[in-house]
Amino acid sequence: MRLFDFRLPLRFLRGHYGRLALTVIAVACGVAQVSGNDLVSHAALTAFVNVIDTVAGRASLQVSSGEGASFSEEVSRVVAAIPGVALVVPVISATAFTTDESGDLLAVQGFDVTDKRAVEVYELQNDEASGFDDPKLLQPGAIVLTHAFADARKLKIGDAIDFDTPRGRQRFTIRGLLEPHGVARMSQGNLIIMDRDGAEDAFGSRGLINRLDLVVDREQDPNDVARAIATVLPPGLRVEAPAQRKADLYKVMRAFGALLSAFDLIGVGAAFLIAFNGLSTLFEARAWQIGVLRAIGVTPRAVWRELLKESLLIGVTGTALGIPAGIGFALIFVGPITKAAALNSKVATPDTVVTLHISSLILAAVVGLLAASLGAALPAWRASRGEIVDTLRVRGAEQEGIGTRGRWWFRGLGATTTAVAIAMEVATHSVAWGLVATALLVVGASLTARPLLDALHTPLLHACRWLGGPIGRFTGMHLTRNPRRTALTIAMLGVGLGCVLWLWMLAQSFEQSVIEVLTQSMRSDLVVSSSHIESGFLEAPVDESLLTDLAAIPGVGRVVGDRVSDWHHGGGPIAIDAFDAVYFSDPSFGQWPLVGTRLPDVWKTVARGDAVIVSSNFVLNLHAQVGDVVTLETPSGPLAVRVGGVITHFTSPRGTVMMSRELYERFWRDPKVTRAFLQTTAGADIAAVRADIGRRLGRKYGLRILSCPEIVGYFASQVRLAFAGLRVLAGLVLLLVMVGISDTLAAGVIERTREIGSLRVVGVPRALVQRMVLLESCAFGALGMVLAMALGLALGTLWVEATFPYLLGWVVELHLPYGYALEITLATLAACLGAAYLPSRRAAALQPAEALRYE
Amino acid sequence: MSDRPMPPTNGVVVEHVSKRYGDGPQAVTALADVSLRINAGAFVSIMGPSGSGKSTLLNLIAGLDTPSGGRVIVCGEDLAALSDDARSLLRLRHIGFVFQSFNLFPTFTAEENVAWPLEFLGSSWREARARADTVLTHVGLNGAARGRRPAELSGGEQQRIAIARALVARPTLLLADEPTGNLDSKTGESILDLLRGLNADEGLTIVLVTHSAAAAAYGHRTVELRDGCIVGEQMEPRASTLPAM
Repeated sequence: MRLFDFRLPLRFLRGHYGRLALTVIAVACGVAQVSGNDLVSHAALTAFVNVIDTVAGRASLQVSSGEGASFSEEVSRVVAAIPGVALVVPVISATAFTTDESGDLLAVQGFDVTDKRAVEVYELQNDEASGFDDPKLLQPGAIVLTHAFADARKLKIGDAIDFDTPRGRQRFTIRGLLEPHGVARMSQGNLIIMDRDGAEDAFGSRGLINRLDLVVDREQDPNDVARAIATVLPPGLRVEAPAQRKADLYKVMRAFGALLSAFDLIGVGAAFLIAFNGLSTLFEARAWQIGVLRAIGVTPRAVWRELLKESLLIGVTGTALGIPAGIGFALIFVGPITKAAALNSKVATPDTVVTLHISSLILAAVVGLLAASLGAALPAWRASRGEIVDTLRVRGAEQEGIGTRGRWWFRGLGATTTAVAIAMEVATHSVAWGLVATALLVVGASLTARPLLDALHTPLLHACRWLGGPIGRFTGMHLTRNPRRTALTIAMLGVGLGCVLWLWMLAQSFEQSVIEVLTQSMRSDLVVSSSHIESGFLEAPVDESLLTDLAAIPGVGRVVGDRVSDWHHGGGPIAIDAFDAVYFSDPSFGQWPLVGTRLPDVWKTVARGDAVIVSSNFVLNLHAQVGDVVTLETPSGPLAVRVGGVITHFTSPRGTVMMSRELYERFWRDPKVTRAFLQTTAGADIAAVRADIGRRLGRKYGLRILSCPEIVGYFASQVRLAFAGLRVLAGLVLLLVMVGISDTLAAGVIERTREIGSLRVVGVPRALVQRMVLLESCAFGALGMVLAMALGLALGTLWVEATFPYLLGWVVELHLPYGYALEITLATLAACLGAAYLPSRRAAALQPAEALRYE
Repeated sequence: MSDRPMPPTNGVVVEHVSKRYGDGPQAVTALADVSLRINAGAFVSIMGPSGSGKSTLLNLIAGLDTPSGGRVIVCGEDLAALSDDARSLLRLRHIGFVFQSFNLFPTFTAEENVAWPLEFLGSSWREARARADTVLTHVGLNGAARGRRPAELSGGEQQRIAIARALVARPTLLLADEPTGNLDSKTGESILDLLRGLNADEGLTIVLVTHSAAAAAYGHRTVELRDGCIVGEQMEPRASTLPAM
């Protein structure tokens, strides 16, 4: 028989297409997941990097001070004097929002438009009619929009347009339109170009900018120039290359990639289990045929090779179906996954385009073929090595596997390596060990299925008798007659549903932690903020004049401002959350729950500006403890301040520092607020006050006015958004589980055709035969759920306590999804009954005489 | 097994062979000190009731099972001295096996069921199919049935295919385990006639296991087994004088 001759395997597969469909679907799902996730990772990373590239234009270095904090234009002159700096472009960078229903975000770039070299840096091409020489561009409120934006709204040069800005709603006049080149390609053309003076008036203050874009001489090393610039920069400013920001993004995307890899592991693991189960069942059912091959004289090696060829055909078919499905998966999920990554990094969600990467497809194909081949290797080996006489004599019986001692040795090895992997993860904070531990726990759960079946065998028999009466005995007998197949089915169920529960526990822990913290920290009557989301989930900042405007509204009592901004510390991004001092001293506005030790009178100390509170992920990632002094580089110089306590905070995955806004404003010179919390006066109608604020200030600032429960709900919804794919995943797993159980039951019915015929001959009615199969399916479901709960709990705990914080930086409390566990248990029961429908009907419909003649 | 010329003899020698299943007091003796010599070109029937050990003896001759004691020499080769692969090759080249329950592959056509062993001997599919056609003609299966699957054929036709499969590699020894056990008497007779013809016309050595005296009478010699021991042996008259089964 030639190595690449597939005639014999094809002939053997001929009559089993229906049964093989499940295995093919399983392999296809695994391939789709791997290729889809890889394509999504590529597409999302490319989109984020493109944003950085287009924003930076040809600039090779940027000087800034974190999230838009402004600094003097004078800095540009100091920087320009550094050898190697060819050009310095002072920039006002801001955001504005359309006032229509879409509320689209536009990036504002304000620079000296009369400087032709600056225009070239951003590769801008104004349309032919006007150009950047038009003196009208220097008028107050003059802006240049992109053709894409203007055409979509039927706007032309000379038209006026309103935008919501941190200073409220402002009117601008269109003085030019940009061709889709350079920076103008950014975010589908949602860009406003202004002269720097106009931008300073509209978005900042005269003489203050918030970014310098630098072009370095070609013969100079940008890193050397950056080091030289760093020595002359005032405190709080930093210089970085767009490449550095790309590297940071790569880090975030690597973390998401690792998360997707964990899903891949599960997908491939489940595909492997289903392929293993399907092929084991198939080869066992055909063991007599293999016996015939052996009896005629085919060597065990040749038999094994032919069986592997069958699995290879299944793998090829699964891969051929899985790759297009993966592309479809990528097209569907690239948006939500990019959104989740953007939420995590608090950046605007870029537009993504899925492009085919041959490496992704090859990776998926290799995984698919390996899953099918490895899934077949052991069953094929067993089938080819069995005693010829036995395989010919006994049809449908389970072939001998490794002995009990070998199994326990294998399980012991699995348990030990899992424990080692978990210990290594905790010791090294390495996500790679977390992924290894995850994979080992999944493997461990699969290996636990058999001992679980052995342990619950007796109660299961009793339960079957109790539920099914005399026919229940046959159900129980069949479950234990093919223990390997039963265990594999339980393992498939346990792994699939366990992983859904695990992810749900992660989502639930995150959501509940957010809700718990925010319900305690936000207790004011109303929360007022911009209706626009600037980056990720954070509202756009508004001018602090909002606070005085709010205080002047009848019925409004006290008002507290809250500024949330991004900053940098310890070589990476962090968040600053600054509340007015009164917030810390007046518990009626809410109070953040402290974790662990704290300084005496901690809130009063924080209100005075003598201490800050840090988040638990700040402690984890930046190793600060209560009582330590943390030195933050601010635009006004270093701020050394003691850590007074620790809270759970969800603004930055790396860490958050909470302080008084007075301290923040003094050091950061940032007069904006992100939110205003207000208490109404005694007896005031909150709804009426809310309506009044909307009427008086809503248009001016573009406001959103919510109650505290509503804003907590908003943040919880953002978390849910990040985990939105879970229900789809759960649905897919349930579908696979249904097909898997159905396949196992169908195999059992075929195998027991004569036995069922005997039951019918003796006088057992059809309904009882049907009940026997239904009960069997429910038993699979019950045992699978026991395993799923255990695996879900183990994985959930591992990820909440270790892997998730190390991977993305978030520290959350463990919350068990009781409601969802009940929901998925009921869904599993329904799926089991659904899966049993056709096999049970087939069993019940068997004609006794025919069934007895069945070979 | 090496690719060497035909062994000096294609007969069968069974020397003091015993076969036990299980250990200790639970052990069951299927064969006890059985010795037998079957010359090349002989047609030997092994007869006995159920559980007498006749199928076990056949399996030992085919190398499908290993004896607990004694030795089996087939085509000049001591089976105990051969590796599993070498025994497989011996079966593939020199031994044909016919089962009571046909053991045809349900997803293969009649032609494919006959031809596939040749593919393992290195024949191309075209050659294998041509040879299968010849053998199917020889065993009396007409053209229309050759493209059908086993489930679409009668028991007699299925057994003819099984015999064709056993003959396709031109073996020198044919082992038939109750080949008429699943057939009606008329069809059974035609199958036995076929076997006798193969023996008479082509000199094929045949060992037939049966519990039927009538079927056994088709051989030149009948060996009677009971409780794992040979209890009798007789030379048969020519088949033309045999009664109907």
